[in-house]
Amino acid sequence: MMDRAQVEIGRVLRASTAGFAIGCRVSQLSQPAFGSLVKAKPLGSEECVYGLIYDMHIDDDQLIQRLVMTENPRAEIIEDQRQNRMLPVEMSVLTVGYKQDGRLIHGLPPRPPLNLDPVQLCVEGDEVREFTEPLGTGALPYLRLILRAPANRVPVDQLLVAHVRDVYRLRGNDQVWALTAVEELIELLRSNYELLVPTLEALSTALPELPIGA
Amino acid sequence: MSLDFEQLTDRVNEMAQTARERQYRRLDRLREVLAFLREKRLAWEELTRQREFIEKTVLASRQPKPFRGSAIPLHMDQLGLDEAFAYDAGDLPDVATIVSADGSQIVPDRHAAFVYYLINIGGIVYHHGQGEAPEVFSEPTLEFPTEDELDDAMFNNYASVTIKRDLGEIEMLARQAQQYKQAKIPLLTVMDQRLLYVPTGEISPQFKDEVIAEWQGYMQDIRQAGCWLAGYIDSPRKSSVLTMLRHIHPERDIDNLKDMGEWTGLTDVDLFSRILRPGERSKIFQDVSFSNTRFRRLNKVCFFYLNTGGSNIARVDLPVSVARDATAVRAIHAMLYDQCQILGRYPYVIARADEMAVVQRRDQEELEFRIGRRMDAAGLDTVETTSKAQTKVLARSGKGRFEP
Repeated sequence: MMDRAQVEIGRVLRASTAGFAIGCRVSQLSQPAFGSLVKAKPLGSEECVYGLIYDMHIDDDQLIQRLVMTENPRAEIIEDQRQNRMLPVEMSVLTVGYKQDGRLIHGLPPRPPLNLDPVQLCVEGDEVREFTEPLGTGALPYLRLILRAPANRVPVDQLLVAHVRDVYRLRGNDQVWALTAVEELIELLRSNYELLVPTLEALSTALPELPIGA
Repeated sequence: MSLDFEQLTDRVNEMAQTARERQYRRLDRLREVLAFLREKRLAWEELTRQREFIEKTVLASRQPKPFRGSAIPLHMDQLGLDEAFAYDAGDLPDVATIVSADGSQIVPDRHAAFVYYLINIGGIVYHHGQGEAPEVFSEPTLEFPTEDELDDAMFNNYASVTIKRDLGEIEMLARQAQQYKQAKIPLLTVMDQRLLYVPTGEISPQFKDEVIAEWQGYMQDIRQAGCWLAGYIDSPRKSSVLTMLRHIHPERDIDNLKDMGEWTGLTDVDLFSRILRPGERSKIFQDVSFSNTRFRRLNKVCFFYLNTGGSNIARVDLPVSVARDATAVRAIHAMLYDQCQILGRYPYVIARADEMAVVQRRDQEELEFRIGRRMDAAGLDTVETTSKAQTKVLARSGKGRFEP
């Protein structure tokens, strides 16, 4: 597994207890992905709020709409739009935990992050392992927060698949963890076959090396 | 009180009917103008005699006849008045720099809580053919009274603020031109207004002279930096070329240089929209007017018309020093039309310069919020808006709805 330094991917635009939106420049877009674990961490503070990216969108305006109609837009124009015009890429994040006084808690934070708090991508192996470590009972309580997200705004099944796949790799292809996550999902969704079955099918496709079907 | 649209229905119908009739009459008159233009396409002697007449009896006269302004072709050669010069992609430089600047302002408002004005000059440095991101800039200037504002003309005369903004635009072009000019790479500066600058408003003749002198100073700076300058006017309303033609028309009123007879209401755009196809430009004309007599020799303003797409006709002003340079004219024609292809009919660099310059309503609100905060911190009681302004806000506010 490759450990990478903390990667700042943008700053908080707006926030609530349940989630927050990140604004970033186009140049910052190469690292974060749908399902990535991120944290909003004010400078100089050890407190932070963790979340999963569940949506990324890039707005347009009338100028972009007009430029799209041209054949072969030239490089100068594309670079002008990406580097100079104030159209930030926006990512929506679902809160799944927070850290306070050195303790990691898989629940909604007492306060949301503030505007312009920097947001980092969680890619350090130790930090990812700490956040995603099952409890002694094998439970992964933060998965409940994902399942409770409003389905009309958050693609829950796809988010679960992307997150499990991402963490599996960041934990060094940790099959034990991945299967623990699958068992937790089966337990939490035992009354919701409509969500459970497609999620398991998608996981089995995304991680064919795992005996999910079995 | 809201508009009573029912009362306006008949007048709106009448307006459309009248517009259609006017358009038909216009087309008839335009056919006549076009026929006359083609008849006189090489009438250089007549046009020269007329120009000399105007200079003697109007421009140089102590008791000039009323005169609106006309034009004269810069080149009197085998290419006639109706000649159209096609866009040639081969004239487009492989590499060039195009700088555009624009300005906007917040004028002093005596009903507001604070007396100030703001001028924002914004623009873009576009590196044509180099694949790089352009550089953009935005330079705000905030001015406030240092003495009693009632005594300071800048806070009581909006024309002065507008003039300052205009000078700021061309000054910025001169500055950017000097900064970005590189050897062997042509640099074009272009602004979204006429080069034949005439300050208007309630200003003294002396101030007017100072402004024109300063404007020309920047024109000179750009020229001495080895750069080109152009003014771009979208939807121009001038009738200089039409006036020039009218002055040699057999039915002209010899004693009235402003009389256009049956051609009244027609503009040069009407004429050239029938001659120029997309990408084509007209012959270059030199402006013949009192205003141009105030411009020094190399700064005298010339112009051509350009079809930027469809039937959209723009006017491009050039100093005569540039207009006489055939290579420069071909390159400028090509670059401006090329820029118009990006967005369709309007140069991309000018659109971006406008975007960099504009001060949005929310920007103004944010500025006034910050001013208010600093005033409070300085222990000043900020004066509320006038009763008139407050009442307008109340009366114009939107409606609310009860939500249980």
